[in-house]
Amino acid sequence: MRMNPGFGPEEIRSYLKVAGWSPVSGSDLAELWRLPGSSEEVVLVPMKPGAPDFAKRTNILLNDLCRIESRDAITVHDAIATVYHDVTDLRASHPSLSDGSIPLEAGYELFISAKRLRVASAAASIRRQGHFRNFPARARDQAREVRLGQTRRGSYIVPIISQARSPEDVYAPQQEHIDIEVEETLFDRRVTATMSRALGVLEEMASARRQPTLSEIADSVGEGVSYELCQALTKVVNTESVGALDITFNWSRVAAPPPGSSAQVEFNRDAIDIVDRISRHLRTQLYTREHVIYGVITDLSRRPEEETGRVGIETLIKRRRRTVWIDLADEPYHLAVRCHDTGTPVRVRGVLSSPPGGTASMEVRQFGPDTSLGSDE
Amino acid sequence: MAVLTVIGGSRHNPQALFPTGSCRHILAVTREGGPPVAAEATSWQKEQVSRAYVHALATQGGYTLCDWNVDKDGVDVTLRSGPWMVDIQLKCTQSPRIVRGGFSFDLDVETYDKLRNPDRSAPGHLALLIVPPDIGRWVIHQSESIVLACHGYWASLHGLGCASGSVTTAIHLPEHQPLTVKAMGTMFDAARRMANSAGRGVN
Repeated sequence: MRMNPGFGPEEIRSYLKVAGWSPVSGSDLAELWRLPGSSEEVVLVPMKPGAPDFAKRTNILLNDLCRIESRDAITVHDAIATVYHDVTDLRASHPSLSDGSIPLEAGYELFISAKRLRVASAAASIRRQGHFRNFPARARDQAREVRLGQTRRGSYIVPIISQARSPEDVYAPQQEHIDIEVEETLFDRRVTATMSRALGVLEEMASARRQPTLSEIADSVGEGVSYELCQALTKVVNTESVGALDITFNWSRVAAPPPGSSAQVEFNRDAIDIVDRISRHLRTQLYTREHVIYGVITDLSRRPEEETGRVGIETLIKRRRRTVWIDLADEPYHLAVRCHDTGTPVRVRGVLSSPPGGTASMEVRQFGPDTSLGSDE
Repeated sequence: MAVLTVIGGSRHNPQALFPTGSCRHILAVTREGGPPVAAEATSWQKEQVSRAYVHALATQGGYTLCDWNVDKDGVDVTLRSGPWMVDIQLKCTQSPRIVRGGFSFDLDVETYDKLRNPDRSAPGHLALLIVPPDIGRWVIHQSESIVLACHGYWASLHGLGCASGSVTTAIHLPEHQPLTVKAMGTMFDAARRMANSAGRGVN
């Protein structure tokens, strides 16, 4: 089969790298990559996507990889095409869906829910609160940027494709400024990580043998659970022809999965009853408005006699670069120093005060490395 | 309409490129009441005999062959030797245009531009296969062998300049560049050089 690849040399190189291949020689036109093993393999990677033979060379490479990996062409093609992407599969299941089709109404809810889940998670990545349709513009924009993959037959699957570039290439140790373009890309990964974490917490509450306590529900908000997220789930599972919804997170191979994130969650009818109850509770709950900021540490200041240290974090607020000042106790301050030394982006949750033209500061509830990017610290 | 064969001839007579020998015609068109006449081969027949020729040489040289059913990018066959590849556009003629020092073939500019493109990751070539005017003599059966009565010449187009014409451009195929197994080795040497530029580090 000959097809336009839909990806370029960088995707191929990244894919080969994570699959254990290493470059042996190259020019601006082509590179040779080697896979050590009992039968050492060498493949040619075309480097000029505009060349008239690029599609041909890429297809030959795909055939080589299919043979070497014993996988079919579409699987290998998709793995390369999505190497920089996180792919979230929403799978609706019900005995009646065995022929690969889905009732129009259920399908409509599934597609709409994909967007709702994304917007709710994006909103929770910015502010931990119920939004009741008053979503931050950034959250709505983000849902417009993610892409919908080809649906797959069998049980009905809707893939959502979002960006997840490798954090290793993002920031250097003791970075002085954030990069707005990089931050925009990383936001996609952060949203997916928030979605995964929030759904994991929700599934845990829904599958427990007892009802979740009010305190547990309140804590779940800090993990990204919101009224809107719950609603997105219940609307799909409550349609007649959907018995369960499971969501699988296929993390990009070039950016490690966020630690503690769920690889797969499932909500059946019983679980959705509990989600519905959580949803009703969240609707009436008064939220403490908490923001979440992501950025790099650019300033550290602490005198020997002081119990806390002052930390400046450069972040994006409404898509503009700003420094937010926080005070940290001894232990988290040392963590901040380490993050600064290694160039690890950080994530801070708390109550933000950012008067126009004034100094932005945050009363910190939670501070640490931005684990959504795959940092293990 | 059958065309009468001309046997023998001068340097400028295509038939002279295929001296007659002891052979048996496997296909001939007979004009009613007359001697056998040559048949003008169709383009698919020319294409297939060209592929057979290249296939045989590639097999002898130990090269594998990717055979493209549809020529969308100016390439009929791709030869492989491990990771290295060479692309060839095959042309076949029963009446070659002979010029000083070799042959000339008018290649369409679209194909020429694809094959000469300096961004290619494998070099592009034109191969011209010359077959006897009489299709009945393309394949000659002998007692212990069959002879494919065609011969080819090649030209590397990679990195050449703009076409001289707007529709076609004349490609010179030198007489001293017959399409042989050795020639294929030369093509692969060029392919290796393209992927092994000195001083280019890969990270």
